[in-house]
Amino acid sequence: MTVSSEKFIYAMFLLADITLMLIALGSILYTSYKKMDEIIRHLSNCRAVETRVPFVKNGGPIGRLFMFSTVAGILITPRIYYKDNGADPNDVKNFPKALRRTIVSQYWISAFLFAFMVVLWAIGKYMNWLN
Amino acid sequence: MNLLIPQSKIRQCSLSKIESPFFARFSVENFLLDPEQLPGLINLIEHCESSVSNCLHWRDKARILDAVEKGEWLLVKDKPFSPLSSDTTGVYSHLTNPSFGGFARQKTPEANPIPQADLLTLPKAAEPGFYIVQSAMPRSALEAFLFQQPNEASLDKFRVLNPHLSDYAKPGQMAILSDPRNTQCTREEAMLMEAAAKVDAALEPMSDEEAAFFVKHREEIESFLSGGSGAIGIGEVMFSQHLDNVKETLVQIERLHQRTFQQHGGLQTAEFFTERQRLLSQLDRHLGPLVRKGISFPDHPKLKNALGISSRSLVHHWSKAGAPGAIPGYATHIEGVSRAAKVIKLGGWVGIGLGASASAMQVQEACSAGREDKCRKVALIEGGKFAGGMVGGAAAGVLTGGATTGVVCGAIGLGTAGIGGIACGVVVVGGVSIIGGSVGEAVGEFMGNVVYESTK
Repeated sequence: MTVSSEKFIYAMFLLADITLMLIALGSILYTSYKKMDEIIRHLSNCRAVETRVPFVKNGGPIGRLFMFSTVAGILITPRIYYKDNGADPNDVKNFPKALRRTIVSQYWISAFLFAFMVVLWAIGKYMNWLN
Repeated sequence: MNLLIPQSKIRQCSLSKIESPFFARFSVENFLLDPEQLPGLINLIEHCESSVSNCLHWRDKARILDAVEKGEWLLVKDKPFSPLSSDTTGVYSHLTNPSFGGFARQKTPEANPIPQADLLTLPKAAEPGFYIVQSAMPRSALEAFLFQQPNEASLDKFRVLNPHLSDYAKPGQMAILSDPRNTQCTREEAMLMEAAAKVDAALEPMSDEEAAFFVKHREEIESFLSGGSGAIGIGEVMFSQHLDNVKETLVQIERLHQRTFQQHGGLQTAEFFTERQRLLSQLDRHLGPLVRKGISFPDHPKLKNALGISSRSLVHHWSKAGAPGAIPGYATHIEGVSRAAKVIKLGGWVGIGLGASASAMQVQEACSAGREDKCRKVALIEGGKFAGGMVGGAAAGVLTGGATTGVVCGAIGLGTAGIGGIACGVVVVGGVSIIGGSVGEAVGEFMGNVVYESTK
């Protein structure tokens, strides 16, 4: 049995997307391990970060990813965190620019790749290709 | 010339040449780096079922040093720092006064072995209690940590009640403490021992590191299990309410000071004192629940005084042990809590591991049938499914852990910080990761199938 060209192209998109997601997650893990101390130091007055520090210390890679997502949330949408004093405006303002750029871009690249995966999944469902 | 001899050979040496076991421990510890430098040390190492290469492993080391500290092996020196002959306190009387036949003389039990600390302060024996071991340590170190001024009677009682603390104590284990004036094994002590056995059984499968994690986070995990996340949410709301009240009261006190000073040029007015008293008692009321929140089991100071236990150690009353059939306490939720701690410690690795082993089992099953074609197909499909599921789940978790969680948890009043916010965050991230994982699995499976079909 041969695969139709549509299915083949679709599968190649999936392969590319999943491969890129693996690379993106790897780079997030790299930041979470190599830069986490620096990140925590710069956001030391943010309660949302402070209360999640045990996850970094004891939670392994998943705990670090959890902290990364919180930090990305604080840097991208700080207002949500200001409402209940989860973040400190001065800490957010003085956060190193290069590190902020790295975290934000890693977050959005992963978001784009995940959204693309969901779109591909929806197409697959619509075409009745997926189980 | 230094020499290590077993206790049975004590008569061959003069007591003035034998180092006090307490100090001998430190000398022997130094010699463990090169055991051949101390004649007799290798015999001791072998006696403790260890070897020269393993004797520095902390468990073996603890066993060896324990034998020295207990006086089972004695260090003979030309010029001991504190010779046994000058043991006037009687701490080592079992070594210095050996009876006929070389056996240590049996000490006749004292009619009322009252520790000196409580002769005046405590007319009645204090009720038994327990201490929760916070970090892994040899038994002797635990005894030294608990009993600042070791008393023979207290230590004897401690050893009788704690047979479960064999060589070393594991974090989370219960160390049972009782006033030596409780001469009989009381019902409370029996209940404590039962609770300690239950705790030991629950802690057995855990490593020291996992057990330490459990001890550190027991309260949070237990509140999850016993009260559910709803209870945590309510607790969190109450907690922030109290904080607001405290803040408000402090501001009122500050204003009162400023107002009185501006009006009267000083603070010496009856009105000021009455108002300040009212505000301070209000502050007490609001602070109370906040202070109590972090301490599940209250301290048992009477027993600490009776046994001369250091004030920094938290000792709890026997009724908080949670023995089977008794009032709920430490041991009640121990099994659930220890299991949960283990799972949380392992984190998402459990899920990833289960996914990987499920895929691996499918592949192995197909490949063991001997059909190469099917084996390859299953390997590609399961590989794609696993890779898709993993990246889908992880990415979904990372993407929702920040702003989305903040919005969702903020909307239901749990906020972004505090234990309520974290609990809510973990639930939201977990849920979204499962959905993301399913999407990833579906597309990954298809991808594996297409790769197989187009390459066969």
